[in-house]
Amino acid sequence: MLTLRELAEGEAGIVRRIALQGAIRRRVLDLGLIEGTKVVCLRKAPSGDPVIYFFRGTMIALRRADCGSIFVEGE
Amino acid sequence: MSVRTVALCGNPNVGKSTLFNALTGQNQHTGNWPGKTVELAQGSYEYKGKAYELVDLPGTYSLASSSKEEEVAAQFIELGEAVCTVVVCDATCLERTLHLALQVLSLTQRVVVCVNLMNEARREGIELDIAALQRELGVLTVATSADAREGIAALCEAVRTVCDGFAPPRKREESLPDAEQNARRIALRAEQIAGAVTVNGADAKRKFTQKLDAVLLHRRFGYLVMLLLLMAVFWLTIAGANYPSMGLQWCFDRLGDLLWRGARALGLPTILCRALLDGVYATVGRVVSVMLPPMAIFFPLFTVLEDFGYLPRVAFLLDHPYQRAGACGKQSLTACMGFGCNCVGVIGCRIIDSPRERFIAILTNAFVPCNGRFPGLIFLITMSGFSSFLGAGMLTACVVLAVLMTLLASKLLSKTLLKGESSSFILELPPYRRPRIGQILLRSLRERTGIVLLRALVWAAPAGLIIWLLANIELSGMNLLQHAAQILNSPAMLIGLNGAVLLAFILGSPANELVLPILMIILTHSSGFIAGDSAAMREILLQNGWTWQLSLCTIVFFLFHWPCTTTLMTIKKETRSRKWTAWGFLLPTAFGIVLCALLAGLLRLL
Repeated sequence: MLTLRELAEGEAGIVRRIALQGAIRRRVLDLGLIEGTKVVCLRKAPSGDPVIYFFRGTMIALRRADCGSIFVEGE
Repeated sequence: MSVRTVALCGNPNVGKSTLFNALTGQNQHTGNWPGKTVELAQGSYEYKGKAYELVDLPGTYSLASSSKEEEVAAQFIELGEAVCTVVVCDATCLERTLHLALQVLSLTQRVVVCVNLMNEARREGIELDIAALQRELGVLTVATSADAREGIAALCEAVRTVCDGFAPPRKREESLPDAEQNARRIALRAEQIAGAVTVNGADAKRKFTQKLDAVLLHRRFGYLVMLLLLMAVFWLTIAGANYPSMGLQWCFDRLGDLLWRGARALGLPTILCRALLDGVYATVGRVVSVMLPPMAIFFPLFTVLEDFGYLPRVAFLLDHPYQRAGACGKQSLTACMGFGCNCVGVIGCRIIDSPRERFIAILTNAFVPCNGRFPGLIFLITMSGFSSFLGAGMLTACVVLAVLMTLLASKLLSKTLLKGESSSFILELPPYRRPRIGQILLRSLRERTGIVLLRALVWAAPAGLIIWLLANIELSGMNLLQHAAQILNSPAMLIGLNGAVLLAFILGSPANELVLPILMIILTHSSGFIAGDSAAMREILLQNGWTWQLSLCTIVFFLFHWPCTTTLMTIKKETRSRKWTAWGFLLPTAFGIVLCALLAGLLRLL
């Protein structure tokens, strides 16, 4: 299984497991990023961090460090 | 007649504030960035003979109380403060905004769901079945386009119905005891509802936004584009502000002459006339004519970028450096607000969730030059004879330096006083929206320019009197200003300034836009403000042995010194601590002193 940070720009994946802890975990879940959500990696910042993802009709920027704890399955 | 309290809640960027304005007529600021509304704005309106008090809850994504705003919103709804809660959803992004609606529905049934931005959704080819949505949710649901004032009457009617005691037939959305399970349930339920009521879906990838992002957030050119945009804003401000400034000063001078004549005709005592006209009136006139034109250009331009949706992109581009400084990427947003006014920036720091990072953002906000300092900086840069284009470049360099110092100060703070690592960061990037130029002009003039100007005036009037007194009380052949400047001369020399400049900074503490006018008074030994445009000011400086080295140090000190008194009071209010307020004063001051001393030493070596 991949993590979200391993998705290249334009690649998509289905969320399988969220291994984040604490406040960020709640926030991510509140955004509707749950198991089974399709996530597209849209664009990386010039430094490669943060990264814009597209899911549930919205563009959300997440930091690479957090993305490493979100496991996805390639489409 | 009892007043019916109605709460208004919704995600950031759903046009909640526009709706609030449309209902209450009270113009409150609306912005296209997440978490803008931080204080509970209230407004009232009447509908069919009943009075309604509308409370604008902070824009939140959820009621899970992980941030200050969410806590406020959740408490307000849970405690049943309102007879009716209006949840605003975004028609262009329904599924996403239904999350909050479903959360609210699990707390109370006295809800009206308002699907806003319908006109924008139509433009994007999105079609929603509002009747089906009402059936799914089981509460009254209305469609609105607040900016075009569409559907406002229907919304008022729905609110009235709920306040009159209409009870929805369906039971409330269930709430699972486990918060995580609940979040999952809500996500799935929102997906199901949105799927059921969407007749025509959005162009999922939002082509226009994608194309524009490809340029504005480009790997290599993103930063360059950002700098160019910033430069363009400054260039327009500098190039456009000069003539209106001169015109205004001319008007104030003529009016001053008339007032003098009037006062003489009335036979008022000369000393009183001089204190009021040479002191208070001249200061006020000076502040208005120096400040108003740049602000009237800068704020609308800035609001255009904000309304357009560019500012969250700035946060996206700049998150990495802020993260490395142990701070939050959203700090770049509060810094952006700081360009307008540091008080606004300090208040805006509430959008930062982690208290540690919020304090860093508050303490370093004064590192970016506010609008009160811009005219002074612009004058000091242009007096060196640069063209407006080169001048804009120099000003941009100042801003870049300010941002670098912000990062350095943030890094220092997160290594010492506010130890810690950068926490998580989630930022929503709204789709680009066509800025509403008419509204922007009105809004930025009335709300930003108006408020800042009013505040400056409140300070300028008494400061004018005090300065006049200092300039007119003589001791052994010199007025008090001269004495003070002389005393300050040797410490000022250490940091490459002179006594007069340092004294102007000290006396200008109430409002930074006073610094240069005060300096003119001190240098000319005059008893009051002297009329004159920037060419005359330049002449005065040159006559007093002004050098480019002195200019350079003054520019640096202008960028980094203590925040104005209003900002300090705001810091006190936001941190609720004297200690942190003191740090808010000391930090930029220390930076200014060190930088100026280094620069002065370097210049002496050359």
